[in-house]
Amino acid sequence: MNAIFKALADPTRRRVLELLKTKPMTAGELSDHFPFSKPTMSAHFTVLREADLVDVQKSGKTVIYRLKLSVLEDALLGFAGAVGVVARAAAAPKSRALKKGTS
Amino acid sequence: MFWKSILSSIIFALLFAPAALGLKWAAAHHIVSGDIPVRGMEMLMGLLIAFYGNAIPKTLQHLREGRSESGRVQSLRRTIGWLLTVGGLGFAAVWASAPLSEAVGWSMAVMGTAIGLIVVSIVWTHMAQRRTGQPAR
Repeated sequence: MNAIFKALADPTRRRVLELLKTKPMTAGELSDHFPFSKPTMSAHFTVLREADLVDVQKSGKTVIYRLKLSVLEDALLGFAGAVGVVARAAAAPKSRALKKGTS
Repeated sequence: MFWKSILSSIIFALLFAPAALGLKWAAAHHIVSGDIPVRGMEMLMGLLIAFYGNAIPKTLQHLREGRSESGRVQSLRRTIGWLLTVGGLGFAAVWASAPLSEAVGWSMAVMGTAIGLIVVSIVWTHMAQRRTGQPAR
């Protein structure tokens, strides 16, 4: 359960799971949606795989990722996303105030 | 996978039989009120449905078909899983809270709605497969 919470705590990994809801994707296709390097994305994929939230299948040279969420994990993903949005919204005025204070 | 499924079924059977006997015994000895055995077993039934529904989207088959096709099947499994889980929890909640005379009707309405929506989503997916010319599975 700890691995699942760790995996869902990161917005990039949550976004990966949201993308996989549409269809299975290769590592390259998923990486194209993010401004991160391949090793960084690979580390995110590893965390998701260790939490058993994605399934990995090799097809020739390509690695295909598929969503592997139970209903409870899906609900946790939605909840973590909602909390993340609220937390970002709450943090935004504070950071703006801090910037104003320093300038 | 097969043995895991058999094992979980055996565990549930071992859980259900003593629970039913225990509740009946408790009601016969006036430890619990007379409607508790019925409510308890129906609640367990609802929770069992929710348990299996929860696991449905996690069971994947080999990626033989095209990826868009696999995405559609995956989406259908998620829908069915959600409907069975919510339906099962709703079924258990009705048996836990509604008056006994109304619980049968309401619980059947909850599960009937869930199963009806499952049938609609299966038909919808099948029609979408036919529209795109993919073989129906």
